[in-house]
Amino acid sequence: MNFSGIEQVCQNVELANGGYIYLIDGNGEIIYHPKQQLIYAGLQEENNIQASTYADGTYKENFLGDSRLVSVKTVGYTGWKLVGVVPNKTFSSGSPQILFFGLSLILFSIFLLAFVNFRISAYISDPIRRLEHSINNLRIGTDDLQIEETGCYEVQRLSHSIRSMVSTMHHLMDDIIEQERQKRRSELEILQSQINPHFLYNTLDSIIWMTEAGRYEESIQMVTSLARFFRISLSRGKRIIPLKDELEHAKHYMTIQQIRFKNKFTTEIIVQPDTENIYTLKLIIQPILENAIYHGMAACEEDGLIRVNAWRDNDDLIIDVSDNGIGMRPEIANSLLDENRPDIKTSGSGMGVRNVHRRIQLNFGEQYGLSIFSEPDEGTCVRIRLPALNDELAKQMEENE
Amino acid sequence: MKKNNLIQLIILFILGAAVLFSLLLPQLPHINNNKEIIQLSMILREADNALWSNTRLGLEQASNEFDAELRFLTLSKTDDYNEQIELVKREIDGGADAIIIVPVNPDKFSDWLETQKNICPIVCIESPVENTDLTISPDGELLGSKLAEAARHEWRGNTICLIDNSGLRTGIKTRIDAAEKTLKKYNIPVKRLVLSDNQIYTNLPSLLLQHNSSTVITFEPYCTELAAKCKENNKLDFKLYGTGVSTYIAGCMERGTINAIAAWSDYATGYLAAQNAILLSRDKKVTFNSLPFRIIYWEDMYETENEKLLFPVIS
Repeated sequence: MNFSGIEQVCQNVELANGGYIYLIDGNGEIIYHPKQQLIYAGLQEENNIQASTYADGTYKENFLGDSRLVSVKTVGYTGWKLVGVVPNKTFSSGSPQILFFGLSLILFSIFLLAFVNFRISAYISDPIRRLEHSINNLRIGTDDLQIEETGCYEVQRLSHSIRSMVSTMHHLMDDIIEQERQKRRSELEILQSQINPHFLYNTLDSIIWMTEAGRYEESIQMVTSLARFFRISLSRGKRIIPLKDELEHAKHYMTIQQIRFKNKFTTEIIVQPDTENIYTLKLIIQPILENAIYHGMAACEEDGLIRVNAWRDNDDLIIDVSDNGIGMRPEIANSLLDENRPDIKTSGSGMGVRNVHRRIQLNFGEQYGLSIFSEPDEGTCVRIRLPALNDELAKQMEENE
Repeated sequence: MKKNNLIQLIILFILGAAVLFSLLLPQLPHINNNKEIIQLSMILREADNALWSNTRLGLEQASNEFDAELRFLTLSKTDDYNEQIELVKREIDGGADAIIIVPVNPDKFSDWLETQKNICPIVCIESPVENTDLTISPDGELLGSKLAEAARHEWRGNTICLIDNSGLRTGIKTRIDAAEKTLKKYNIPVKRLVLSDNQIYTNLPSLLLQHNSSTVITFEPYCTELAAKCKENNKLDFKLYGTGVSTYIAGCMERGTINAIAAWSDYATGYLAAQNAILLSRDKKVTFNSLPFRIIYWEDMYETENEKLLFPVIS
């Protein structure tokens, strides 16, 4: 084999990290080296003399400051040695392109992992967050609550269960509200019905007494007012009646009471012009009047005055029932509407101021109801505040009932 | 929830930017600079490149190692300065990053370089040229004096002839001047024969006779070959001290025609020229003093180290 043959064989061998092989004789003289001429010219050095002392095998050596792996194999009977040299380069000592490519690959992998991780966590957590948001809305009482059934199977099932639970809860709440309303209505109806026996008994008693005494004119007037009073009280079972009917009802009641109390007091009913078509709850003035008669006018000597004044305050209807009776201390006046105050039995209709106040608030809300202003020896003013219901709203309320 | 999304977006944006940056980073000029393929041109002064085959191997080896593309150019007519300048211009215009040149006329070439702007790195072989970056050659003065010393050792007492075919080549002239100076230092009669390449073969015998000389020193390979050929063909008896290595010169040494030569590795010349030219084109600093050489006597030509120079491995 000539030199070119050896060269061809050795040149075609590729080793890692730019490694190479060379051939030496038994004394370490170079027979072939890829940089033979450079070595001969003294421009490069090779550890060939040392390599000639190695037995067949692989060795780690340091040559000119570089760590490298050297594999030695003796070639047959010639004693020549084939030496493979692989520099011990680390990754970082390689080409910067490879380093940057590796770095890009790692960064891209991290980017991909982070992206997939965020997407997966969003897929799992977003429906849970939406569910939590819906439950928060439920907690603060948002109407028309929508609970989406999205996300993974488990979250969908959870959403479905919560949705069912919320639906059931709404139904139960509606039932409870309805039951409570029915209960209140029943209670009020019972209270309302209490008006009849006492008042009717006393009035009829007065009529009998007046008839026996030959006061037929007054008896007729009393019977007429009583009839009218009961007709309006019934009002075909309506709860909301025109204000003029309610005031007429109050007027007839006062007519009866004036006769009964022998005109110890006079009554004045004033209606402001912009209140003609307003509707109001039925039987809310009469209990106030009854209170004014029994508590305010008790000590009067034919100079009592009970004034009913109805007027409009923007969207509200105000009915003031004032008397010039004995009045009361403001703290007592304020306590009259207190729910915890024990009921005081009266000889009147039996339906107290507090019941009127409760009825108004049950029907129209907390912002409406009664206010009592009183000073001892100055008289008392009971102010009824209601929404100014027009015909349409009144009908709507009746239908809702 | 919005805050979490914002944090996720920021993380993804930073990672994406890092990926893009790491992909773009290797493309940046200052990072990618050392991977750019260098266009390297080698321009000879001769029409025949036979004497430069070993140098070419060195050039090719260095070009492969340092990522350069080599163009090896010869003149259509030996020592044609104008053609060489035209070639240099053409190569520079063609985008050569560095030029290696064996200058025909170093002085004129230096003057021409002075008029040029934005010229690429230029590395010379054989003769140094002002305004170039580097010269790859043995120390001319040392080489001349060493050859003179070799001739002095076997001096027969008569005139020693120094063949001067340097023409305009300052590198060769330096060698001759140094040899002449050394011989004169020892009071040895010296005759400087200024001959063209053609005259060496034809005129040398008569000139030796005329100057009663039996020792000849030549200072470049072609001249050495011509003098040896003249000696052998004319069966002349003079001691010949030459310069350079070629197959013919090695053969002449084997036959005893050449008594000693100053030899260096042409392969190393080519390798170092290309390596330094590439480094210069990449704006790297280079330092080079001179090529090592050795005086080889014909008796010692088969010593291992001498063999390595005289019989270079050529695949």
